[in-house]
Amino acid sequence: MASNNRNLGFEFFKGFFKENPVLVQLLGLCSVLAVSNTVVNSISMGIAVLFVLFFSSFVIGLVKDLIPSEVRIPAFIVVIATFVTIADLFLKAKFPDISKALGPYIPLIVVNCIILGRQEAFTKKNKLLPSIMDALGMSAGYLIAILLMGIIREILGFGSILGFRIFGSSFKPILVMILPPGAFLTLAMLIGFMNFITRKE
Amino acid sequence: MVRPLIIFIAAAITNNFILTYFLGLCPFLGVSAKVSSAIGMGFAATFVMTMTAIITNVVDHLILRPLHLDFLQMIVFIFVIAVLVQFVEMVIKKASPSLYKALGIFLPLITTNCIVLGLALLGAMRNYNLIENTFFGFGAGVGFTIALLLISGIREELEVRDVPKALKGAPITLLIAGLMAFAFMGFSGIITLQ
Amino acid sequence: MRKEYRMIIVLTVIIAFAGSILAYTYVSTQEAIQRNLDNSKKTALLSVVKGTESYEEQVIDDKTSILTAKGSDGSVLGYGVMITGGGFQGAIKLMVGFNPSGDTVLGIEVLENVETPGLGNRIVEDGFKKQFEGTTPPIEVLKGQKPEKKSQVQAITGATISSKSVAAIVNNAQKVLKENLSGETGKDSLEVKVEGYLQKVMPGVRMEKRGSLYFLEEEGEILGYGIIARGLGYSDSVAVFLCVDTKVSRIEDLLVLDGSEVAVNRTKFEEFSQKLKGKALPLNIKGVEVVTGATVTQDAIISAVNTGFEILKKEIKNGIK
Repeated sequence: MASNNRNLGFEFFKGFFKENPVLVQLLGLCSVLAVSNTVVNSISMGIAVLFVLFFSSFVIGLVKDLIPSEVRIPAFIVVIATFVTIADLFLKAKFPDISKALGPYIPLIVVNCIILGRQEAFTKKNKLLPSIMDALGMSAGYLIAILLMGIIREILGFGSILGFRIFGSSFKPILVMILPPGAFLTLAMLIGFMNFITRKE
Repeated sequence: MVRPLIIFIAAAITNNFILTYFLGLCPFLGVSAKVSSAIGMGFAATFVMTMTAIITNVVDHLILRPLHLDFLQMIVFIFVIAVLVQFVEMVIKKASPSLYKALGIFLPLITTNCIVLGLALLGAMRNYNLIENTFFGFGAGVGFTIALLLISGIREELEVRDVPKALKGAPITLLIAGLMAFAFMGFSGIITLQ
Repeated sequence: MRKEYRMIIVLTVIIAFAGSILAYTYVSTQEAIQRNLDNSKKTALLSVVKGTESYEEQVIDDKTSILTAKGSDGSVLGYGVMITGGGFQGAIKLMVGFNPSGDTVLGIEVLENVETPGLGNRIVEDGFKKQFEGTTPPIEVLKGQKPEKKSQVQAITGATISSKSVAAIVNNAQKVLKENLSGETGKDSLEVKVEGYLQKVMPGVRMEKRGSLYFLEEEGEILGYGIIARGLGYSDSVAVFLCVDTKVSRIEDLLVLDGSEVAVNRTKFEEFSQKLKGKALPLNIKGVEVVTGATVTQDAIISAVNTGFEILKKEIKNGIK
């Protein structure tokens, strides 16, 4: 029992740092780069990914034994696409502004390698509970990465956090940070930093 | 005839899918180490993307919209793409084994690639008609190929350069992509998208 | 063979499930999504045509529609033109508010844009949008210098193309509006207003236009002259219709016709213009009571009256009978 608990804890926390889906596994980069220009967008995207990954892993974990392995990929994609569409419609109905800001990147969660990747690499082979812990941990890892990006880019690019100005008026925002090149540069530095730390250990 | 051309140039250069929409990054990081594989991937993707643009547009306008099934758009598009790639693979295999040898390994990679679905969704969001969407898909493919070719050329050079260890691989590729995105920003505004 | 059947059955079941769940979600969110769309339209219209209580929408094409903004008493306060045009990076969707005559922009609101964040995207900032209030299209965009005329706005630094795109869309919005308005009235809308007013207050009087002058006659006898004149106000030019006696010495009647700031405070200005009746010309600014909070607009009316007076005097001296 105790070892079981530790395992569950491991499945949960590994996604935070050691197997961070974005910074270590380099999955799902397109949304991380595209919508991380402000903290609000980053958090919204992170929560949307959490929702989709959690429910997809849950449902696929439940029914995986019934699906013939030849059609598992299309079946997984249908399940994922269903939850992505639900998330998309929900945001459009309740948070139209956020939905507008995230644009096509919410529907694009469906081809986010993290989601399908986790189903193939983990849920397929494991029991339901570890799969859920894995899904939660991975989405937390994604959230951490995109939030880091969002914080860095919003501070440097707008001089604010969550819309609140944190520097005096003398601060000139580094505009390029909120433009595409800034996204590439920030992510490159974060991954490089991650490599640097893990190599030392 | 001007509008489709503008859409083509916008998709290929000014709003390059990789460098401004960040779509198709996985092959960008994975397949961009060698110029030869970049060319193969670029051609395969351009072909699939043009076909996708045509077929998803037809499906969207003739089936989904008249029946008010917009909410099934995403699922239907993914299926169309998966079937299309499979079909293309079969046809190429039969028709030209040598072409299959060159492109074959890249085709399965394209199915789950966000650039193709992103193209289908963006085209539908912007209400492009069939001709416009065809040019959009073709332009996006050409833009993808250009970015892939440029970066693979640079990466081949980097092989023999002294890159800091922590930046080897993905980080340095992303850094270069950042600089390229910078350069491509210079193109923005040469044409205006409606 | 059995395996293939199983594959097909499982996939069909999954797709059927997914489809029905999605259909349910779609139906239950559709109303809210539609409401959000309506709300954003309403909010935008309210911010460009102040005091709007209700509106009627007329769809021109898939990129343009005209919203007629009405006040609580059902009168037309102005028009909102919802229009999409090309920007620097992609389409820009604007709500452009016009006064009832369609001559003056009351305000603009950016509904959708994909301009570069931090540069072109600054078209959504108040500082830029406010510039359009009171402008008279066609609007010209100036680079790096302060606007001097009512038809000029200053471009955002580093985003000239986005700024010009917005101005072009506003100009286009006016074109569309005018095309659709002219079908209804056929005449210069100010003139229509003047005629309507005269019929109400002076029934028997005939009005004849010669040049810019209006001759007011009753049974062949000239009662006085009238003229439409403009004065520069706070954010808009204000148009008045001035009636004078045959000697051109005092105000017989005064009608404030038009102007965005007049639209907001219509009753106040109507009272003000009534007070000016019978005063000697030219008007002396010191002699009149101030309209609270609208001194500049009030000065605009006075300057319009005096301008009108000067023109009348000159024209009549020149001997137009």
